[in-house]
Amino acid sequence: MANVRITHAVDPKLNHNCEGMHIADYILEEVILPPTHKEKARKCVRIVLTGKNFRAVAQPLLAFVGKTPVRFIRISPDERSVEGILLDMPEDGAHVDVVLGDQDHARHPRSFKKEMIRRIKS
Amino acid sequence: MSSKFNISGIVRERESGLSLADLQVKAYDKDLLYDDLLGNARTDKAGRFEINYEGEDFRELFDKRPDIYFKIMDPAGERILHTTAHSVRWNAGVKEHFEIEIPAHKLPPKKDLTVTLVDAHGKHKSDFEIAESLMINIKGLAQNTPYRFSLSDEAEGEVFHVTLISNRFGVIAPTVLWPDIGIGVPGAGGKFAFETHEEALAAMANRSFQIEVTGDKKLVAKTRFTIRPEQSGSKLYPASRSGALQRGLLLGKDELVVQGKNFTPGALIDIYLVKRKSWQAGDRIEPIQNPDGSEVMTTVQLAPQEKNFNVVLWPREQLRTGSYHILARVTIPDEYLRGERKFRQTDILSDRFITSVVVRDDIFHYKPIHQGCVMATKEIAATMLWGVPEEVKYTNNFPKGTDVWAALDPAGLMPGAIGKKVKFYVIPHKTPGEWMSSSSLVSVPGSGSPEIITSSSCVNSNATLVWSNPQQAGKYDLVVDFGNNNPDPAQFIADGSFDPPADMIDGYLNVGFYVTDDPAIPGPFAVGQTSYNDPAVTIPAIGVWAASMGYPVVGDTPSGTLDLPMIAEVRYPAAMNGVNTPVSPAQASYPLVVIMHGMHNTVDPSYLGYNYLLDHLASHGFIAVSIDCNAINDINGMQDTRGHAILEHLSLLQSKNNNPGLLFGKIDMTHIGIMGHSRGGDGVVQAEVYNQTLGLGWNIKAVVPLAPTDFSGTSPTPLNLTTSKLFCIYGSNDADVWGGANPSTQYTGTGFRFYDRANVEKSMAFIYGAIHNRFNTLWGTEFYVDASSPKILSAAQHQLLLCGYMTACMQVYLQGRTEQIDYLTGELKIPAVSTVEVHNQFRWNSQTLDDFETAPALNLNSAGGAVTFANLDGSPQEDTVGVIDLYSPHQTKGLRLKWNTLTGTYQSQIPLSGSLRNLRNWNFLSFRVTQKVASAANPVNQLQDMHVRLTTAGGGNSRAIRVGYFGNIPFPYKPEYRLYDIVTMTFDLNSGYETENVKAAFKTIRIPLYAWTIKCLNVPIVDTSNVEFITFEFDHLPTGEIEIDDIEFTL
Repeated sequence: MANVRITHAVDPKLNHNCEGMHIADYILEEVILPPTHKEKARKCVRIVLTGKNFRAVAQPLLAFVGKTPVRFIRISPDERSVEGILLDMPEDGAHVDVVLGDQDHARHPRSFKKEMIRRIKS
Repeated sequence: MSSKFNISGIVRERESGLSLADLQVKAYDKDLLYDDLLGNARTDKAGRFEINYEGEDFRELFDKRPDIYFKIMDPAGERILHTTAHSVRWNAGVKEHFEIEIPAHKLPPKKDLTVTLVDAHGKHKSDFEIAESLMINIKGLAQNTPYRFSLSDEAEGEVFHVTLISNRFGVIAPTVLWPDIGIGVPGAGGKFAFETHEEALAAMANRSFQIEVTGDKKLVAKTRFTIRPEQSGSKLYPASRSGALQRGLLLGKDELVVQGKNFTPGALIDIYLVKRKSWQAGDRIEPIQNPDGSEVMTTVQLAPQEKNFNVVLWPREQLRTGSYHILARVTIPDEYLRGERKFRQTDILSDRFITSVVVRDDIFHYKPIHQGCVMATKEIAATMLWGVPEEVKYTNNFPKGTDVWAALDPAGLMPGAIGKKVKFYVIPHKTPGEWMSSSSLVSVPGSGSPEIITSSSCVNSNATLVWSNPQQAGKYDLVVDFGNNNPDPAQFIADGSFDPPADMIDGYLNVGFYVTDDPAIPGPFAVGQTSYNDPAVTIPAIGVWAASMGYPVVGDTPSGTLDLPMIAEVRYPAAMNGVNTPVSPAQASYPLVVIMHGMHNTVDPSYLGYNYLLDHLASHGFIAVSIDCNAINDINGMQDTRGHAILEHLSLLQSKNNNPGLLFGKIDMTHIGIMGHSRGGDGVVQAEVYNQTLGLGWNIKAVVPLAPTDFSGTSPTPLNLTTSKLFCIYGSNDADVWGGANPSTQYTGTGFRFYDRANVEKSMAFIYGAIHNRFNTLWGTEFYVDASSPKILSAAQHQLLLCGYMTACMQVYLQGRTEQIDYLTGELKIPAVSTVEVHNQFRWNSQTLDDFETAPALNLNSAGGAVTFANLDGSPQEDTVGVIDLYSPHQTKGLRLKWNTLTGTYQSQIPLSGSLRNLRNWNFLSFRVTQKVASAANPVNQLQDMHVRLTTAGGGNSRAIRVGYFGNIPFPYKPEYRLYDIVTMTFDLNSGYETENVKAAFKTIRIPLYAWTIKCLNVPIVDTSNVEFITFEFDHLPTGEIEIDDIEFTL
């Protein structure tokens, strides 16, 4: 009986969910979007979200900073990061959300601030 | 430290109990994905074997104890003779012993003639007890030959004789010759047919009977058996209160009384009613439950001198239809684990080989023609599943070479038909005109016409082989000729004529059974394998916009384009198996099938996950190509980019067809089929839309979206298909493209919407228990599926279904094999997975009476005829089905009807306009129907049903046909998902919002119009050249709520 482990209940407040989508962090940096036949080159903001369970499935994975959608989303092969472009500048205080269709929805606790964007030196 | 495990056992022939030497025994641990081989051994002279293994041999994550089953191989280890995979011993201990019984017909054939008598427990015997069932098994006969079995008694002479036919191996598999020896049907005739055990025993104890087998008027074998003077061991029987054996009970009339005999005096006995199954020690006992949740069980306390008892186990008011066994456990008060729900070796079972008791409903209630006297039933033609015990499986689809059995379910027999002798005939399916001119029965060449004596006990007692190894594809009926209908089987004379109401038929109103080419088994071609990796092409990547849902453009790139590497895996009909072997010269060229995968992480080469399908299609004469779309997945690409990708690959394949190389001149570019999975399904539809709208001229004949998204359906003007044929496949338990909680959130859409929007010949298979990912071998199981649910189909089942349906579809539309269309209409199921529930929609050329899209008012149908209704629960509702029913996955308008009385009707008039009332150019009455989800009017888990009446114009003849005979209306499937429950913060099964993904899924019911014109005693014939009314009569179930769409007459 020497190896008996004492187990403890997990506090529900921990909201522990290993299987769900999770945003661990995100970074923002200013980049130049190359010109297309419709638009000239322009500055925009690249956002990279890291975490886990960003599933590449039939349901579309969408990301938003407040009401500003993250465009040109790409999910990394290991499904642990998502990157895309903000064509418009979100409002300060906007939440950063990732939505998997109607199946899952994750939000990062740190809200957006323009000062978080790493600017291009020019 | 590793644990050591030991398995020992013995292998016997089931019927004789003889041990089987020199067979290879392989033990496996059953796992979710791949079963582990634990070890193997060879049986010794006594049939014994022993296998030792260690924990590492089976242990996976969470796997602490093995789940053991066996494969028994022939002495060379080349052929599997038998598997126990259907009766796994779960969580086996360190030391386990097994007794494995193999049916004799599975063993390598013996050259000598052997006759074996077998009892209802599968044991070889030469003396039988009263009320046992005597079965016979013979090997070494001539192939496909009728044999006469005469059973006689020295004093009484011949008791009865029957005729059975041998199969292609010269074997008569165990077949019941004399059910319930000595016990007859009260009131019926026949020798040695007593009402009670006591009477039978008094008259028959120690009597000896002889069985003579004659073929071609020569005696080929004879054997004897005797009747034991007393009963051995404790026995259980279903009985009447008077003590007569009573295996068939009628709902609403009878009660189930259990008779126990020969128990220990004074014993305390727990008695349970359980489902009929193959019982093995350790099986879980799940007593039948009453509607109030209580279990059907009782306890009997015998008096000190008492050995027998009669007890009511199931009162009349609680009885429910089904096939049951009775199980008893002798116990003592306060016994430890007295109520343990595991079957023990010491438990007493009423029967093993046959069903103990059958509760049936009033069969008049289920007759296909209302008040008609034709005993048409779908349940005669059957296959025999060889297990322990054998199991009859009714089917209408016999792939060439599959033995056809006739099996009369006692639940479907009129009381007066029990105990009589009958003769079976397999005949070509006849038209009403052919029946009108002649009722004579001429068996199809190659089939037999066996004779048996009907029993009330079990379908196995009424089962006999009627056609071994059929090779002639076609449509057939199976007729049961009661001949002179004599209650004494010895006096039976067949009359070779179909004479309702006594005679029965599987067919008549529709095809009884089909002999077919099974599209799910590999075809005749060798398979060649190649691939290509050509330079990338630039295609548009515009993405789609779901602005109405508040979502941004998805799937685009900053440049609006994408460089797509042209990579694909190819299989083709070849001269010989191998890589880059020459294309088969059997045909000048072969139709092309292009397959596109869907969205998935780009680590996996998703396009290789359909290699099994490519191989299968190639073996059937298609050049099958699976294209790599990971570049599209990398940008989260949608159907626009995917559609362009398909078209680019068609260009490349045309180039390969036009230029020297392996495929030079071998691709039939005039017959192209495209199939896409998930977002690929959206992509193939979009490819065809581009092909049509841009006038590209690709000869795409068939489009198959598999579990497709439908993002195009969210745009203000959803895209329609207008030329090529559409066949959609979708699983009811899809946990990725699951359709959303209700129409307002269904922005991903499902294949139902494609089906609704297609203005072409179209069909859809809605497969219960199928999920999203398992059609691709690299995708595993999607996260939200509750993989532990028994409702979820295995990966192998998914692949069989896809191979079968894809092949059938491409055979119809690319090879012109129109007979395979019955797989798309739902008339035929894929044989190897025919137990999987599939509900089909199908629509082609038709004369629409009401599609509910164009009617200006509830009182008018689309054709302009009057609509009336009576005695319904509220007014019918005609609207977009998503408004009528929040759980509808459809995009069309439809009709909702609710009733709470058996007199409710809904009538639609065919207007007197042109030749609309002349239906003779049409073959079917067709409509789509579903039960309304979450309606209290629909009894839980029950089928809905109703009659449809056609009435000749001017108040002429009318006839009502039961819908359920031609297609059931199922209770909506409840998906089983594992979802994160925000309230409990756990991944729960079957809680939370997954219940909102139940779907009110339409299925198409097609009733042959000749059901209203074929002759039927007591019921007039409708003049289908002048029909005025179609009336739905809700007189089958007292309450219900359904939705209906597309009432029409079709080819």
